[in-house]
Amino acid sequence: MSGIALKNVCKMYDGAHYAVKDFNLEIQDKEFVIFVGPSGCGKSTTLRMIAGLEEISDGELWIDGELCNYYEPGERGLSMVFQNYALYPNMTVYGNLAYALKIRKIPKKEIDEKVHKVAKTLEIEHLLDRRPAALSGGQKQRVAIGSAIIRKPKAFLMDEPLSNLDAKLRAQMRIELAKLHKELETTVVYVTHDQTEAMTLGSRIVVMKDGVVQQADTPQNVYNSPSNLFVAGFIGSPSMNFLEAWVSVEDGRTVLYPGGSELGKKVYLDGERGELVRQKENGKKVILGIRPEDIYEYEEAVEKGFAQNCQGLEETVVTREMLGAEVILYYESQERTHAVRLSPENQTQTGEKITLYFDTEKIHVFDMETEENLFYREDVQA
Amino acid sequence: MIQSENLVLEHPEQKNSISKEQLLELKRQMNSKALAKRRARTGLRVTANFVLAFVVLLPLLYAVSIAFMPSGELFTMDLNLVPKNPTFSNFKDAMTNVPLLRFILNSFIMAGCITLGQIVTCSLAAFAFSFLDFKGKGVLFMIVMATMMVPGEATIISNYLTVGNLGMLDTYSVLIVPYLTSAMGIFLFRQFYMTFPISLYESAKLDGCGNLRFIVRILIPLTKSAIGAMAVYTFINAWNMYMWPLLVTGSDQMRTVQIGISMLNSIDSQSITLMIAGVVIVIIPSISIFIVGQKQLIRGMFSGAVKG
Amino acid sequence: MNTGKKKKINLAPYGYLLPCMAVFAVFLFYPFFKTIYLSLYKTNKMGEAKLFVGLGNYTELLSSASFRNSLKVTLIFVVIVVLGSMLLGLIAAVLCNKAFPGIRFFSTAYALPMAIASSSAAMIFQIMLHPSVGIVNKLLGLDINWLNDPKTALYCVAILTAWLNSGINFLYFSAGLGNIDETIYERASVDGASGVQQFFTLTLPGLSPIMFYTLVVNIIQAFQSFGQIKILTEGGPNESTNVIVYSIYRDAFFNYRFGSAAAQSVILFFIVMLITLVMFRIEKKGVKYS
Repeated sequence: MSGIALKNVCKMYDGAHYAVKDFNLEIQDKEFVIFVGPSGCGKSTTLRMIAGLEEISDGELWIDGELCNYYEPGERGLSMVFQNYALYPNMTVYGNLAYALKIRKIPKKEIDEKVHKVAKTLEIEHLLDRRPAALSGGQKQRVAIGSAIIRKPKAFLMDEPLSNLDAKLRAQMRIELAKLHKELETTVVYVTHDQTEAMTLGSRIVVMKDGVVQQADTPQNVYNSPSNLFVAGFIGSPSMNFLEAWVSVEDGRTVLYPGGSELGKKVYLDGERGELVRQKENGKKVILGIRPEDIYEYEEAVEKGFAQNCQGLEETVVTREMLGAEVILYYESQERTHAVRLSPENQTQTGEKITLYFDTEKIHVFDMETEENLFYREDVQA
Repeated sequence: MIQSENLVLEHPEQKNSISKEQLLELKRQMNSKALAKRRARTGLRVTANFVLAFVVLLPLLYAVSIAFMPSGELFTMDLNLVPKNPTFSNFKDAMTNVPLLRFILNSFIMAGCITLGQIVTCSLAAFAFSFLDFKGKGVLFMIVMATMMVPGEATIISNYLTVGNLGMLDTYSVLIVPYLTSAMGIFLFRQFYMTFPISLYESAKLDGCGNLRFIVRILIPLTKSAIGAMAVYTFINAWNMYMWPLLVTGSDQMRTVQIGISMLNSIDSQSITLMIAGVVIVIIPSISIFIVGQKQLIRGMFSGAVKG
Repeated sequence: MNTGKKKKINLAPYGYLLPCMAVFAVFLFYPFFKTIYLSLYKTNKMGEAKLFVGLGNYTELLSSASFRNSLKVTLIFVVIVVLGSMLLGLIAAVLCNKAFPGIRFFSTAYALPMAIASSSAAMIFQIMLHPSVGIVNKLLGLDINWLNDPKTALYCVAILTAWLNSGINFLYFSAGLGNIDETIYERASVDGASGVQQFFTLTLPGLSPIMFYTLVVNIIQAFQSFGQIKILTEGGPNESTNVIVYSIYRDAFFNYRFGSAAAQSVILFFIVMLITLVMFRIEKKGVKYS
């Protein structure tokens, strides 16, 4: 029964500058929580505060119902995997794995059993006599994870553990980490700047920016219902397309004019969503967001039944990326590059024109000033 | 999911068991405890440093204190750490009793020439060892490195006989010439030059830059930190040299400070304060150079020595 | 251009080596072999080789009680100096390992002895150890004639030398500590290791490569100590501080027995070389890991 709760946790430097501000989160047992955000957003600092490596300037940290703000790192019952692996260079792999147990004066025989068991799980048995300098990046990674899981910690803290690996190895380790989490049934708090890692590994994602939590939710919800412009743009690859648009009413329907009504491009918003936008933003400029996979050509739009909701936007393709299972076309609009994800059968080439239709049900509308998503409701979280 | 419900159930319970005031109180207590702990740690560290630094500096502090002491004050049975009537007369007497200024000048000339000479010869040799290709390069470099193992004292007798036969005794050149190069300097510069890509040299060549020009215009500006470190280290060592100057100088005209200062050491107990004043005068230049060049020395010499 | 290269060897590279090689040749290689040569002869007062005696100088030395004493004294001296100076440097470096107010002052203080000449230091110690006015007797409330007692003289000279050599060791160890990856301490603290455990399991082993290097340098340096002995004890009392280097000096420049002095120089060289080689052998087997 292990839960970690952070309440209004702050990290202040020089008594003025906040690195983390009012961080609130309840991490439940066996959860795989991911802190994600651009560098300098405070995600690592938060993790290090949980570990006890950074002092908590303000707020409370509860681990298993105990206030842990002032516990020494070793007293918190957590284990941590570092970005650079932090292996002890003077010890063999065996020594590295056994270190935390030796410190706890566990009998030698027991240590030996545990080391071999962990080494077997991670398939590093043949490396036990080697020193870290003689290991490859992936092997070091396994040793680091091994020395974290060897004692049953209340939670694993992982600080960008995969960022030093090459892309292929990273994908492989991602899968293994997910498997390991299932096997061990232990809480994991994981920091990354890579949104793909966040999406694939996390049972919950905490998106941070400038020391402030932007959204904490399941990957699905964060993707489908981002709380604001930052989250929308950060999660997803290629990222969401953003267009400035004016809100107006036409024949009783809410309509958005990307780039202004004089351009003649329009997108209708119906039902509850249209109502909301009309009430809040009528006559004002908003930011319209649409994911690359929610844009279609005419035939498909008709098929899916939303062609009438949207005036086709004619665009010129500037780049075409064929990825095998899909094709991604890039076009420029409002001085920004936008992306469309289409089926690989699409034959539009670079330089050619294409007429695009937005799936209006999937459109997000963000307030120009607050950058909040107008459709975001916290209570919708499942 | 089941676990999460448990947690939710348990949490309100905890919140009930600890009231807001209690929580604040608890936090305050732990806060002050942690602060006290941190202060104690820093305090312990600073105290330990004070004790150790005092022990390390004691000889110097003691020397300075005695240098300012009237010689009568020294001869008491009481503990006399600080002069009661500080005086400059010891310094004045030390200057007049022996030609201390001349000694200092000699030492400056000797240490300065050695430093300059080592920088020149070592950078030339290191340049050849790192950028040029020639027959016997590996062997020659090995030989140079092997000289580091030969203690200077093992060759000092033959050297003395050599310079005696050459009639060089009691001159500046006998103090300077034998020390005009050092294996360590060559090694240090080479370590630095090896970090530059060979293309640096090749592109300079293509631009029509001669070797000497390359050294003066490109290498030397790029290795300022190594040169600085080397200069500080060499100067201090030359300034402090004892055995060789003792053997090869005989007249006051040529004596260096380290030899000259021991002339004050007559064990005439009346002159103790005077002698220590002389020592303090002699220490000042090397310590000043060390303090000024310390950063340079550490950056150029020790960070490299550890990695290399 | 290619053909030009083939025709004659490019002499320019040797030109750059000329200044340093000339100095080495005249003041290192030549005297080195000349010392070996002299050690096989009896010499006159001018240091000229007069009578070939083969290994006679060596057998004489090895059978002389004075030289055997000199070897023993040197050994004790070197052990004390090396242990003392390394320990002092290490403690100082560990104390300055983490930032705290005043760290710059303290690190300068710890490195400072390296800037002080052996002769100056010796004269200061002479007064500190002075039987009646010296601060050591006063502080300890003792009445010991430190430098004139064969039991204490060697220790005094050795401690002075350890102090002199500790400055540079402090710099070496500080650099070594700075090279240890900071995050392994963080991991160890999460793993629950106390400060003391971290020191013994991480810091000391982490220092071992630089420790080895420092050890070799210190041993070589300790063997060469001269000025402090010349000024403080002149090898006495009772030859209790007559280390090899001093013995060489005395034989050559007081007794004018250059042959014997040369033989001692050769023995000194072989001892230093042997120790260095053995150390490197050990190092290859053990200490190194990165």
